[in-house]
Amino acid sequence: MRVADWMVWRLSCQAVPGDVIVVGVATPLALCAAFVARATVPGVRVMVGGAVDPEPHDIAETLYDPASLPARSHGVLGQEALLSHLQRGTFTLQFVSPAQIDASGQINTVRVTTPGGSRWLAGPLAIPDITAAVGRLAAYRAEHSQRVLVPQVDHVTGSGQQPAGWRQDYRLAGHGVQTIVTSQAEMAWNDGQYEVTSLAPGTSLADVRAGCGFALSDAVEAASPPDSFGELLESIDPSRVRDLEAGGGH
Amino acid sequence: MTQIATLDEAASLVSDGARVGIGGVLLERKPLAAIGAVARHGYRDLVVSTFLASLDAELLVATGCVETMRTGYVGFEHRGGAPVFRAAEQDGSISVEAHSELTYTRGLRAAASGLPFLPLRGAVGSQLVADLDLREVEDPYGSGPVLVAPASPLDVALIHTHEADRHGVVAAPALQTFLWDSDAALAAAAATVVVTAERIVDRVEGPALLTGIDVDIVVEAPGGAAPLGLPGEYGADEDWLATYLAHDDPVQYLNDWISAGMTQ
Repeated sequence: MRVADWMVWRLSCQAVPGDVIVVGVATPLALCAAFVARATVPGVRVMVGGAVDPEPHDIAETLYDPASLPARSHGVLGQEALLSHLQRGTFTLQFVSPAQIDASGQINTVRVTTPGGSRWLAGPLAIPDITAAVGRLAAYRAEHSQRVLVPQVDHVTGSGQQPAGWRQDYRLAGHGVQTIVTSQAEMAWNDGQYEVTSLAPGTSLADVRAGCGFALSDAVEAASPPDSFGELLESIDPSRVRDLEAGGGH
Repeated sequence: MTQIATLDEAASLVSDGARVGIGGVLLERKPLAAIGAVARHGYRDLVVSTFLASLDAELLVATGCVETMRTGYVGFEHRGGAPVFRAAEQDGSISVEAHSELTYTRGLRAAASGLPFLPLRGAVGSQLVADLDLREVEDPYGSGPVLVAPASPLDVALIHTHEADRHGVVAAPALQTFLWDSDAALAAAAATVVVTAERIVDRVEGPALLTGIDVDIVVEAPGGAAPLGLPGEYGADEDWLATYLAHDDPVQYLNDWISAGMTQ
């Protein structure tokens, strides 16, 4: 199984019945995973860049011609409506792709420290808001390295899990990054730290630990996608746009 | 009362140090013709608000107009980063206020309503709280602490649309793409609203994004978002973007392009 396919499968497994999943328009892995979840998990709805619950379709169309999305959707939320839904907790699962993720689930999309100072990445976008207001986040990066999985992020763009209980003080709907998916492993937040819950084919626990900048516990469960997964993925992404985010590796 | 003006006349409403809001999102609906006119005036120390920015930010930074950029993203999506902005941020020649969508929009909404601040359910626990000096208040109705964003009024808002009329009515976007209505909040927070339009018509038919009470100046500017796109009218010019992003001196490239009248 290729890296991109494994990552899509593990991301899609984060959905539970009734989820409202949010993804951006220019994130093919997340879009594939959201459409797989919508097709396989009861009651799942998908928001794509404000477009309400488009039918699963070839994601290349959405990525290269975003203007086609409204016709496939049940309306497109404007910014104020989108933010109102966000703040009152309508959205329950979002896939995000930060540059850095740390031991307590803080994420960074703004700037990284370099030997000469710092380097601008992209910007906060809505990351500070969704870490507070979206029920669960699944952070993903194909690169599994100590450059991405760091002890402490260089910029706290999105809040983490520490100190325990702080989110309740603010009555936040969001629980932060509950899962991390890389090309090598799935890691889930549990009892104050991330634990390895699934390994990509051909990867060992030692590899995963060596490529991570923080301590990991483990509770690996062997699993494989259902037979129908490949056919479903082929229908959603026949031209393998998802490889743009994950590389084409096996 | 709304007036019809030229690009140059509209740009003359900006002044050194002004707080300028830029409409549009990413590579769509950016008022580039108006931005070019502002750049040609040679303004300095502008405080520019543009939440999802691309070539708009690049142009104003490359021409030395910017003192502070208030933004949530600057880049060209999968095409790459914004070389001029990134270099200026790194060498400290501009100041950057990095905003989340809620800190940015609550500031505009507060200004639009004449309020000192608005509460939000975002940004809590992030570095933005310290970087933007955001404050907390206690909910007087008993739900606990809540973060607030201060009002962020604008002196001038620049917006591009496909159609407006001489009374200042601005048609709602022809296609409801990502954040299709975000320019309405920008306009509401501004003392002066300049709208460039592909076409000025006698009367806008159908739903309006802005009305005559919101808009001060309307300018006819066909192709006013090019080489970026305007949904329903034209797409971004991928060849132009590829050439720009591959250029080894993007500052010079943009200054030459503006001097040449921003012709393709």
